[in-house]
Amino acid sequence: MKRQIDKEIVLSVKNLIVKFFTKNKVVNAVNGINYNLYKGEILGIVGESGSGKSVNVLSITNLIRPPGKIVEGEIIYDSKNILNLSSKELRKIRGKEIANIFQDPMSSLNPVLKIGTQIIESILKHTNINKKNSIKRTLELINNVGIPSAKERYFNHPHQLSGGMRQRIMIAIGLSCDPKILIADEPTTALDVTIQAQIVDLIQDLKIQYNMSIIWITHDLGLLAGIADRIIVMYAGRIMEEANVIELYENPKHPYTKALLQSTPDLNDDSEKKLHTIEGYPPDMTQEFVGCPFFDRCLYKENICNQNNPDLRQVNTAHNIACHIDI
Amino acid sequence: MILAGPDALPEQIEVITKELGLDKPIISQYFIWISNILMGDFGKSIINGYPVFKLISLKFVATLELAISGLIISLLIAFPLGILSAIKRNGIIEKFTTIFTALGQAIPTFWLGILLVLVFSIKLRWLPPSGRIEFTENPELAFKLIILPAFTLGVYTASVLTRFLKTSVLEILTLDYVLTARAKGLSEWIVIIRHVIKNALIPFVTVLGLQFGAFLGGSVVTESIFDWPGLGRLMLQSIHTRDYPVLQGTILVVVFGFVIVNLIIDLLYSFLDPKIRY
Repeated sequence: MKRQIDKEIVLSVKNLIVKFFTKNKVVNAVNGINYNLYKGEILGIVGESGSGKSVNVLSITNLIRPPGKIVEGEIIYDSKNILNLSSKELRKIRGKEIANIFQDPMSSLNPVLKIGTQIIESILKHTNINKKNSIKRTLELINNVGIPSAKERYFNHPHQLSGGMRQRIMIAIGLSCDPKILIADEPTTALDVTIQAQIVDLIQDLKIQYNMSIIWITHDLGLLAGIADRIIVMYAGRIMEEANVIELYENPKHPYTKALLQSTPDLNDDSEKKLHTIEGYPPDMTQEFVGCPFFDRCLYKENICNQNNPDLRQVNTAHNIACHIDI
Repeated sequence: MILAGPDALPEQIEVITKELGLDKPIISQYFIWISNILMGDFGKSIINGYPVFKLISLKFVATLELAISGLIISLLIAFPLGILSAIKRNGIIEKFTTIFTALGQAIPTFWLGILLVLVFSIKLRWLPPSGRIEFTENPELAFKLIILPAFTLGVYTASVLTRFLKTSVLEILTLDYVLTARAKGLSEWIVIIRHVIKNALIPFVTVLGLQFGAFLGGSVVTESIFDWPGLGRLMLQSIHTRDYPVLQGTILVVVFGFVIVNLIIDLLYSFLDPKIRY
């Protein structure tokens, strides 16, 4: 892509296709997406449930498990295609270069292992730091993610910690080996709003401190507005719109993004009018689309939309959409 | 009546009845028995006058020996099969495991025991068919003698345990914390050993405890086939001879053993599951 030439690309996803082969049908979870992640940015990915956003980021470190399969595509990191690496080379990237934080901190930590063990195993695996210094580093990390009395927490088990604290521990695990990229898959969805705000602040602070690029997945457009540099809107396993954050909120070009933004409640709006909804249902992902997957629900559709699936096209330097129509 | 024989005179029967306390009501007979037991007196066999406690403790050692060997064999089978078949799905190991668990649970113990004797003792002449000697006397022979009964006893439990372990490993492999562990870049074996197995053990030991408790009761069938002088056969004999003091004593010990094993399992939980603390 021509824009942001000054920025260094750290990760590049090319024509990624992921399918899930269940007993009697094939679910097309991700259908040929392309995007780049630039150094030091927070890239937000939004989409409703089942739009393929999680599958997309799990593919980055090849964590898709059967029956899911990456059918096609390239994930370029450090000028190598991650999908072609041996499992040994891949394990050197997972957790060290690219770290993941998952949605539900309640189930993402192993209930029978001590917090300390779960952080330190990553350090011992990826670095040459000896045991004694690893413990020291682990305690620093626990401290760094805002948990007091680290020494005590080191020996705690997950059930002794609150949800927010567990998510902080997940972040500590993610940061343990100074990753270049942090993938946060709905890291605040399972938390209440106050804790959510704390976690968002924490990740933003740590981004600067650790000099990382972050891919942040959520279905909360309001949240992304405050933190992301760029946003990708996904629908039915495709990228519908890609733009920098101000552009996307002020000047959405895709009918789906427009509809999404209209369905976001505004707390400052005192009028009695009903909240806008998007008519219809998300598409059945087992079908193959000839035309645009949003066709059935689109307010601006024309004949061409049902015959031809629109490719991502550039509308201006910081803005791409997959739509035939100019609105 | 049985003791005195068919030709007994009424006076003889009266004497025996008095001696055994059978003239008292059942309830007080029961309380006499209980209070004696609390004082460590299990009574005497009415057949040969041998003290019940001594009789049971002799047989208990044999049963314990067989139970532990049976358990070891079932663990040796269940652990690798259960875990490998869950990890390598749709492979040869899984097919083998499916067949093994189905057969293991379906084959009757007496048939398997007799078959094993037929093959390994009579045809191949590798192992002695039956009997037991102390390990201290002749370790090699004692070892050879225990293999077949332990295997007979262990196969059923092995198949139960294998199925159980496979299911729980399969379930745990889909959980989020396993994904977290993989995302850390840990090797698959570390993920399995450190993150999966310990969690899978929690439900596993429950079944293990129940099975071992059942072993302690002595397997009547296995012990009979292999002429193993354990509690199961003692129980069977005392039923045949209507030797009530021995029968009651044996049952008491078996139940007690079962309870103790389950207590140990409960204590094991606290070791495996950090949420449980006593």
